[in-house]
Amino acid sequence: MGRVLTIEGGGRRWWVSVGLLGLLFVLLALVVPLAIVVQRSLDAGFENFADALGSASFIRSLGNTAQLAISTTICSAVIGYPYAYAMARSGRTMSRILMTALMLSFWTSLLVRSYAWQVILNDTGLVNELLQAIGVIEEPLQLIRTPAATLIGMTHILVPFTILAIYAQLRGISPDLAMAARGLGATRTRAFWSVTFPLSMPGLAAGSLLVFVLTLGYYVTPQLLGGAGNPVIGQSIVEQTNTLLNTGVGSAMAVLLLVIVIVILGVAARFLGLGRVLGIATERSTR
Amino acid sequence: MLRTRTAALATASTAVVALLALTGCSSDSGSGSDGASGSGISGEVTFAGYGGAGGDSITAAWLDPFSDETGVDAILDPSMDNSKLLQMIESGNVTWDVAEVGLDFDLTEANDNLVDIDCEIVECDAFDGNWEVTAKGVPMFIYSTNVSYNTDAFGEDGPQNWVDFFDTDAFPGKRALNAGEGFFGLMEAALLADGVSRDELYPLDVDRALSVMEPIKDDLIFITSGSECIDLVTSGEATAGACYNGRVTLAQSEGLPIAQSWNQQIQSADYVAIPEGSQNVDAAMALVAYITSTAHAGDLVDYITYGPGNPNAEIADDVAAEVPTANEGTGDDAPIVPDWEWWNANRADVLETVSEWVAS
Repeated sequence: MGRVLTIEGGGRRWWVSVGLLGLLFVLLALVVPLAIVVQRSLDAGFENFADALGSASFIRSLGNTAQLAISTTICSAVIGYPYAYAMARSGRTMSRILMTALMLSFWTSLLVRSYAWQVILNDTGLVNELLQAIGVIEEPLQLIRTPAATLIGMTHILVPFTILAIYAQLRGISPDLAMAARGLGATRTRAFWSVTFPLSMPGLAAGSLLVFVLTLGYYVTPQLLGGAGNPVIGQSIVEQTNTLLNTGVGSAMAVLLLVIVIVILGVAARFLGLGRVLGIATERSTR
Repeated sequence: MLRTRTAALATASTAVVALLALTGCSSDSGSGSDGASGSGISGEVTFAGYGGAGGDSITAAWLDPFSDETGVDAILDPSMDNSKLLQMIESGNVTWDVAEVGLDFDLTEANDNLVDIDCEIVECDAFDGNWEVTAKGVPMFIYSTNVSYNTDAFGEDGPQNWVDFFDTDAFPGKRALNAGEGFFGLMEAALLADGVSRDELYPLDVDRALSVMEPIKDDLIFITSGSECIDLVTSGEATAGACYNGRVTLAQSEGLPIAQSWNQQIQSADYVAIPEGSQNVDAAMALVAYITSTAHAGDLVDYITYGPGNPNAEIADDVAAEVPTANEGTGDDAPIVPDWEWWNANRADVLETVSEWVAS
């Protein structure tokens, strides 16, 4: 008994020191730079914020970003749910194949995946060359540098987050429940929609929230696939800081983005329970 | 159990905070060396330039030979960008000693962010051509942005000037061009194509220039780097582009299907300057002097065909005909040399207008 307690005591100290290290890292790598960004955004009072909100291109990029985030979230849910379901409910071999395929995609650099989509969607890319070769079209279709191209790329890159969140949730739901529903006379479809699906909602919600929030900050993929004609917030911030050399306005834009994210997370926490969202995020990250 | 949960929650919140960081702007990774301290010339100097063919050429032509000759390690950091340089100087944490800049960085006496050029060390007197030494910068090389085209699409009869360039009926296909600098030089090109005479170019009629591009806007591909121009044109993704002369020549020598017209070349120069706060000003000044010296300024041309900023520098015979200054047309075909003073006074407004136009 005493021995167990000693181990527990040592374990606690260990956890505390690991926690402190983590805290120190977060302070240095995140809080300090973030404080500098906030300070920069305020270097001319609230004028930087007024400039940011008064810039038509920033407002347009906000709209583009919101559109992209919503559509990416929906596409990820629609594509991700069946995949996660198949992974959770199929046999061992199939489940492993699906998981391996998912992980291969997930672990490939987003830069590589974005460039791969360029190769596919270019005017001289795979799709257009193929369609021209078999005579479906004369002139190449405009696929690249469109919002649709960004959506395809973003969904490809972020759908693993939705899948893993839903999968984690589905794994926790006993298949017996659906079986019981069927035993009581429900059809397979009815059993899914009345029993399994409602129980899996927290996973879907958590995955969707994650994808939505992550989309807001993406810069590289929209730049490579959507082109300069459909800028998102990230592109606006880069333009302010790198091209116009307005670090103040760029910082104000970044702070606005941060506020938007915090508000969304706050609202989500109110309705979903942040702990639940975080808990699922943990399961994902430790898997 | 409770403890495990708390720990898990802590890990989870760390993960979420990290995600929040991702959604903000990501910070650039630190660069290069700490520089070396000390007097005389020793230690090392970091040259802040750009990557790709240009950076490789600068390393081979100037940095490596300088290191061999002086014992000072000259290292290229290819992550140069104006805002980064400014922030470095303002924060007082300067890790770059020599920077590749344009006249847009304001190389006049008024710029306190740069070290005065020491004409005791740099051969200021040799610069008696179009590109002069300023209080804070020395011309490093002269380059041009040329009408370039895919030879698989047009043979040798591709677009020969900016009128052709903007005419997608006569020369079908997409156009690669850089909008990130507010169409610097390309504004002038569009106005000339629209019939504005050279002596009435300034002040630039920005709206008129954009109206020249408006009808073919769907055919414009906005690039952000010089290599992108070559990639797009040689792959046929764009049939023509406003590309840097040196990169076109390099691509040609690799057998890629690209050619350029020298007519109405948009001529410009990159300068070397020393940021205030450099840890090794003496060695930096020595490197600036080396790069721009009559003896060595022409060495770059062996690697990439950007002409020496020093007009008295010698260039190897086999490449002498390839530099912009050796290919200046006359009359309507004469080079376009953008007016830096006008651009520096109006850059912010033009950039704003152009980015607004590009995104709408």
